[in-house]
Amino acid sequence: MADIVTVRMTVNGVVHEGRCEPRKLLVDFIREDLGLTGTHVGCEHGICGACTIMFNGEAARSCIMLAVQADGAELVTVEGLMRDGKLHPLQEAFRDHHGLQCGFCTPGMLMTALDLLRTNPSPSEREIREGISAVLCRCTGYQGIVNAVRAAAPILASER
Amino acid sequence: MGVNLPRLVGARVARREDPRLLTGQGSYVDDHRPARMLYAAFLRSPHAHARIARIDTSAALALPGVAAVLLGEDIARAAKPVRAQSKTPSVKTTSFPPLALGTVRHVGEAVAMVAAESRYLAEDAVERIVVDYEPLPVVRNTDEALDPASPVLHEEAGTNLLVAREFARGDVDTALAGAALVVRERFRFHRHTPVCMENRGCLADYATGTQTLTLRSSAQCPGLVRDILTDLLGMPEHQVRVVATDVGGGFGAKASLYPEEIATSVMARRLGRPVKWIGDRREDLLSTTHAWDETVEAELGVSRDGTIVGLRAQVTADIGAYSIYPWTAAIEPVQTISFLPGPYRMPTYRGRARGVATNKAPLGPYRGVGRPPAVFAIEGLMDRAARRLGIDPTEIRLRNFIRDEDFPYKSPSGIVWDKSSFTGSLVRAREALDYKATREEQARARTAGRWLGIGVASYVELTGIGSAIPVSPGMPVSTGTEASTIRFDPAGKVTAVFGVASHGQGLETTLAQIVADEVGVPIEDVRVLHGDTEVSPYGTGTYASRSLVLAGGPPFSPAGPSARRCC
Repeated sequence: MADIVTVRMTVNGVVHEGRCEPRKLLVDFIREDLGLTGTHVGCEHGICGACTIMFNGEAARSCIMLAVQADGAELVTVEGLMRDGKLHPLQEAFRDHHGLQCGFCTPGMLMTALDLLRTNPSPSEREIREGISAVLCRCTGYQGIVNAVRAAAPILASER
Repeated sequence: MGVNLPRLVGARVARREDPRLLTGQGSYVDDHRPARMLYAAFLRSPHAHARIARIDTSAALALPGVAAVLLGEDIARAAKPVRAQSKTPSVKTTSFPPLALGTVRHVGEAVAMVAAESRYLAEDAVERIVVDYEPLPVVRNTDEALDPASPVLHEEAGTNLLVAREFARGDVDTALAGAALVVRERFRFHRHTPVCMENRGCLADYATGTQTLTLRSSAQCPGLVRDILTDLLGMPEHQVRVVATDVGGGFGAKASLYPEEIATSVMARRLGRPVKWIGDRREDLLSTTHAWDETVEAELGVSRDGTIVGLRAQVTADIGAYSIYPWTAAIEPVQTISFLPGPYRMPTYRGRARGVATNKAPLGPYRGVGRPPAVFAIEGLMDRAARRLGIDPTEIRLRNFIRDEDFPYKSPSGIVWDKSSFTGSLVRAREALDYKATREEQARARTAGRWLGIGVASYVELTGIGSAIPVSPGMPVSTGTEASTIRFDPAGKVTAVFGVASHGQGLETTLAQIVADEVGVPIEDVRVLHGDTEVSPYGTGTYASRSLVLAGGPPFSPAGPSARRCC
């Protein structure tokens, strides 16, 4: 068995230190060691996007990264989106536009959409569809998600 | 109590599930980790059909952190075999062992189960289990399965033909012989896999002190799983609790009992520790029930004006290696042959349904069960007949619909259409599209070299199925009842508990709308609980588009009387 290593990372503004095997996936570290179960595991090979988090400010798939790769990194998970006990405007838009049903892909979808709106504050519908194509949803048929992202875009842009 | 409150049914109400699901506070199986929990992993067969000559688990057990390894025989000693039975004599009953007993019958079939201190360790241990397989000839498809020279998958059945059911009305052979036109086709539907975003998983916790089992499962039907686990494990019903709070999609695939639910329960009971198994995507694709794998061969006879004189059809479904509980191997082919006559007057009919065992994953319910193939086939035949006779595709349907004056109309498979508006719906659809103008536009486009398509199809959705639905595979499950408990606390707040479960339908919102309306309180004063057999009255779960109809629809009446009593 490989040695246990120490990893240190900032998650949702809080510094965490943990010990794990070098082979431990980042998503398992987030869910099991940090207890942040909002980030989901759907495929474990970078296809479905349910595990998407913000990694040093960019969307990344935590199921194809190792926890050791996040040593020293700054992460944001879905648990870190709320502000002052209120839903983030993107979360609010998902609620208003029926952008979720079973909710399993939702955390990854939110983080992916957030990254899209960070790099492209005013995306066209085509660009939204391209942007969220990194995450699979089996319930909604995507239309509600597209509408939610479109509705959230000007709100987030005005906050910049 | 609450007078003049606006009605919530029909109003736009924000989903009450969303705040927790949007903030990462859902309660899916994998989000739970009780103290002392072990992680499970399964060794799965790489062979489609093989005899297991020997299994050596010593290297796996020698690994530090491995608590136990279970094999088929261990499960067989602790639990009765799963046997999906049907009241229909034409459905043969076969066993579905949670872990293979001497023979594997499909790739991905569970052979051994490991419980260890982490999933990583459990997978290490799985890799150390040595299995000597002796490959057997593989039955690849239904043709091979029905060949007398092929191996029989289940000796107890004596044949691979596990389902053979026929529905008939009148003399279809004579009708077709005298028909002005007979259109024939062979429709092939390939195998599908439902692919929920959340892989299947379960967490079993056996409390030795109270001898109670709690199983959290990614199940659509917690009540159904509780009932059968009670039977298989030999435990009293009130000592078994099945919980499915948040489930990441189901689409029918999570409506059946699965081997892992039994094996995980047995492991937890044996070790006296919580055991969690979460399938990875690969195992989910290999072992979750597949769907729709069947061939529909059908002949439709019509008169010169397009009136149907008869339909003769045979559905042959590749049901895979095992008959699943509770739906049996009959669910797909019997539903297909039952719905094949569609919303049409069918004076003569003979529909044969065959369910055939092969070395593939079991076939199960998925999105419509049989209806998509049935609709595709009958509508394809209607189009072919219309084209051959030079009749407009909407016209041939209007000529054959069960007319308003025909209701109630009993279909040849026994479905009673009590009151529907088949004709009115198509007429209105034609008007909404401006069908005539669209056809003219199509003609203009054609002359300009542009191919514009117009498709016509009829489909009737059947929801909230009752207890005695004749097209059912005859499983021993009461589909026609659900109950709820409505509780008022001294402050006038309401807790409504349902036996159904939600896997994305938003039942916590829709059922709350109904309860709030019926009781006469604001929706904020209603809390809906579901998906937990310990708190809910008796029920089975969510499948076949039934939950809002049966749990919240017309049969739902306790809120009314109880509200009257307390006010």
